[in-house]
Amino acid sequence: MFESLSKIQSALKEKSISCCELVEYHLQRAGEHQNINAFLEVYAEEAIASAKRIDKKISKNEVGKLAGLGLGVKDNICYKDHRMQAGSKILDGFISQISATTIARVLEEDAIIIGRQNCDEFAMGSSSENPHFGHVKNFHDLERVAGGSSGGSASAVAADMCLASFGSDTGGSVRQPAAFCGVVGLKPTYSRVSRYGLVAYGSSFDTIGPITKCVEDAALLLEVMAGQDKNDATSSSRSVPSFSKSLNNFNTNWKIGFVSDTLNHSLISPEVKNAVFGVLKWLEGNSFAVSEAFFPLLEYIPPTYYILSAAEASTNLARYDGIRYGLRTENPENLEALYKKTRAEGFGDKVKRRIMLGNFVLSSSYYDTYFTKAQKVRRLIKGETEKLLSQYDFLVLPTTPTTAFKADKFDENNVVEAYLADLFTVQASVSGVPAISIPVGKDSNGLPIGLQIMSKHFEEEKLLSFAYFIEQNFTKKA
Amino acid sequence: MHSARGSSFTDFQLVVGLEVHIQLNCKGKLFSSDKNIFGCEPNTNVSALNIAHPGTLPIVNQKAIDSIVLLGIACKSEINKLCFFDRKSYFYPDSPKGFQITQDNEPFCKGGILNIKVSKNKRDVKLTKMHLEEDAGKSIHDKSSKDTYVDLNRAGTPLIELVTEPEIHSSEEAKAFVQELRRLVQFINISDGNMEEGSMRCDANVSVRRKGSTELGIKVEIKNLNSTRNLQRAIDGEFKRQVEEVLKGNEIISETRDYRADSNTSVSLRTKETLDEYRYFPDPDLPFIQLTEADIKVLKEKLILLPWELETKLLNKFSLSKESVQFLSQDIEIAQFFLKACEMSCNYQKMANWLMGAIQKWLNKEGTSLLSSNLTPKKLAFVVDAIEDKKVSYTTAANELLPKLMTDNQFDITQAFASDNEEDKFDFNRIKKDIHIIFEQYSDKVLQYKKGKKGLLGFFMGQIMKMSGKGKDPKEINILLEEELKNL
Repeated sequence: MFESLSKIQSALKEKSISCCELVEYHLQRAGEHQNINAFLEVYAEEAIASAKRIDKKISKNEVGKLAGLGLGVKDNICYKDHRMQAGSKILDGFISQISATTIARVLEEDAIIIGRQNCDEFAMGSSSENPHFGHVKNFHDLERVAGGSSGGSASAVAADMCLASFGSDTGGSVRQPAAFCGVVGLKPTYSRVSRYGLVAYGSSFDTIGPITKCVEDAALLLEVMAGQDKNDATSSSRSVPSFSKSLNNFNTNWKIGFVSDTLNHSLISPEVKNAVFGVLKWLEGNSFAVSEAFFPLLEYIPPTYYILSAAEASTNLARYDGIRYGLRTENPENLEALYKKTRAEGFGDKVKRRIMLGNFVLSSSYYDTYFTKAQKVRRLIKGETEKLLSQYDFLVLPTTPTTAFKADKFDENNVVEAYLADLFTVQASVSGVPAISIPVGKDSNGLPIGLQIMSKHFEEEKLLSFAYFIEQNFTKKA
Repeated sequence: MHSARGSSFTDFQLVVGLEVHIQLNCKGKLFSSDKNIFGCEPNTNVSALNIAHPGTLPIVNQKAIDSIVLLGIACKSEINKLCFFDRKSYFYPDSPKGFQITQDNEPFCKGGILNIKVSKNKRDVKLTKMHLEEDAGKSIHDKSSKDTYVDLNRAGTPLIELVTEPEIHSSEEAKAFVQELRRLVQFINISDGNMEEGSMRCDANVSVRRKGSTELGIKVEIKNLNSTRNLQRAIDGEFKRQVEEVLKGNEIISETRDYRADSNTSVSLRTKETLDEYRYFPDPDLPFIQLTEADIKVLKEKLILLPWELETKLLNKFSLSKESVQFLSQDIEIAQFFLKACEMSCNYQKMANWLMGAIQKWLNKEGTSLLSSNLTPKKLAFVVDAIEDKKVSYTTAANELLPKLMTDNQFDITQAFASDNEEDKFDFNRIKKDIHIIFEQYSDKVLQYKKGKKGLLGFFMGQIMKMSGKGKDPKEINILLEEELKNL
């Protein structure tokens, strides 16, 4: 199968393949690998109809930038007139009346949407073990999780069910499953990409990000998705460079800091550690200045992240009340019962836990102890991260402490342990800086290992060039 | 609790603080472009955002920000240069998101004053703050015995909440405050101020204390005051209730009471023993709003005159009657129309009379407004001057010219007198001439009249009406006749 959109587009040009054939291939893969449980729904007829329309456009030579790109969409991103339920029972039967800005923009460039993808309920989790729709399996080992929360999106790309996916990343939900599934996951700078049409979880962290087979496709998708949106007041007015055109602009004067607090962490597996050191050594060998960067606040990031994201989530999820759409409990005796029973039946345990946590940290007796303090610590973490990024062009660290873990590893008895699966990804989320996870090898079980790179706010251009350099010269040659 | 023995109503002071919600007349809602109109079919002015669909995001309406800053400038409030919106969480079916977007810590306006007048006394009432928030929808309980219906048309409507300091001491003062505030918001055109339709809603925090005491008593919040009359009656009733409780030796309970206008009573809705748990925090979907000196200056320039400044000007510079002053200082657009006309004619009072009388009557009849008519200040000045110069009678002007002026923008008033037929053109002079012809004809009767036989007026009227009064207003002729008789 093709490894990048540019290869597909050359083939389309030479007429050695058509969009219809591509879509049929993805649909066939999705059918063959139904056991992975990556898609909640495929839009087979629509996708083929779109492919036919685009094939006609190709023959007239008036085709968009993303022609030939079959896109999977995480089930928390709105696509007008299609079902969307954030992997939750509480949105049973809900049909979007809007399309996310990112969806509208890629459709404008002739991407074809293959279907909506399974994930952790309301994007809360790191394993895509969905209580209503079942677990997403890792393409590389069906006993293992695909990561989360965009697990369906990452596993689908790994299995060729689509060429790319839209995931969402609040605390690592694009990067972590990308690492587990051996694909590329990009979390753009917060505000770089419109959140309009994305189901809100932690609004001050949420970003839509592409999951792709290669850095080049991530760059291309980002340049289409990004940019100011009148429907999202927090979207940035920064101009959007043509990321895909500047991938070769790497510079060996770039300074690289490796976050030793992550590499020396007790939770890290030796194989992941070795893989990352392997890359660092190779970079040194390629005359990059690589040195140790310290981030002593590492331990404070997950609690800060969980307090603030849960606080935001507790209000963001208040709208799911059974009044206007989605699930409504049958025959409630009164209004209060309608709320309580609908929400009790509709939300899974993980979601309930975070709503309760959010309500707790915002309650007047604990507000200052938790919420106010977490806001202060967030500013501190952001400041320290920016300080480090003024000394280094990039910070390099593992995306995850381990490779994909076995399903059912975490239950209500080890909630905090499960939260630490995000340990290395939350720094970029809390600080709002862009970060990418790229595959850099496999462990002895054949499970992919992801390398994470962070850069300064809005420096995706540099970030992508650097990731591309490693992908082309290290990963592919290793 | 000190002894109530021997005390009476006159020993107590009433203390009231008001919370007024002012619905803004912006075209859109506070965070979406859905229509902000009263009286539509239920759930017609709602978009995906208004029914809180997942994925939708609020975008603040700049007009609403301008409105609150205008009101803040008019009330000499401190304008907050860095504001943000907060989420206030509570579950209710007419609150679709499960939280209201409002302002808790950083409102747009802090402090300020509004000057009120009760009988002849003027005083400033201090304001605590003003903030922007979105209105809720409406729950309708009386459509069915079993179900509650929800209409979300009103959800998201922009509101200013204005809070006063607890320093209003009579129901008359409370009424005067609300009336003055209503006049101000109408005058600066940020709200229609209509209390019946709920564009202005008022809650009163009422407490009592012994005269001379500076401590505040336990306050009771009275909700649902939808007219100044109800506000006044509710405050008077609550004062009486609280004093009676104190005189009986009872404690006042901190509570919220609902005013019922039909019975002029209030009933307890809930006590405030438990702390309200609204879990306010800054809304992450809305960036901080920075106001610059330049932004504020632009808005200041819009407030050329405030109603009280205008009042002084109308009284002192144009010597208008009190009635006219009151009328003109209701609406900034009418006032500006008038001031413009005053640059073109010195017949100030007559122009004011026209605006209050014939023009207003016509506008009411046609159900339209001055600015949407074709009348211009210049045309008004021209007509009034023409009447004063006796080029046209008041009646002709009011009955024949006015409708044309109001409706026909092609109608050129300056040509009206020149091109009209002889009869109209020489209206006054001609009737005057006719009067003198009759005087000469009946010089004996004139003599009798001068000697005191005033009853002859009717005879002269009859003659003149016969001679030249066809189609003319007898009242006008009568005035002319009396004038000429006086001049004899």
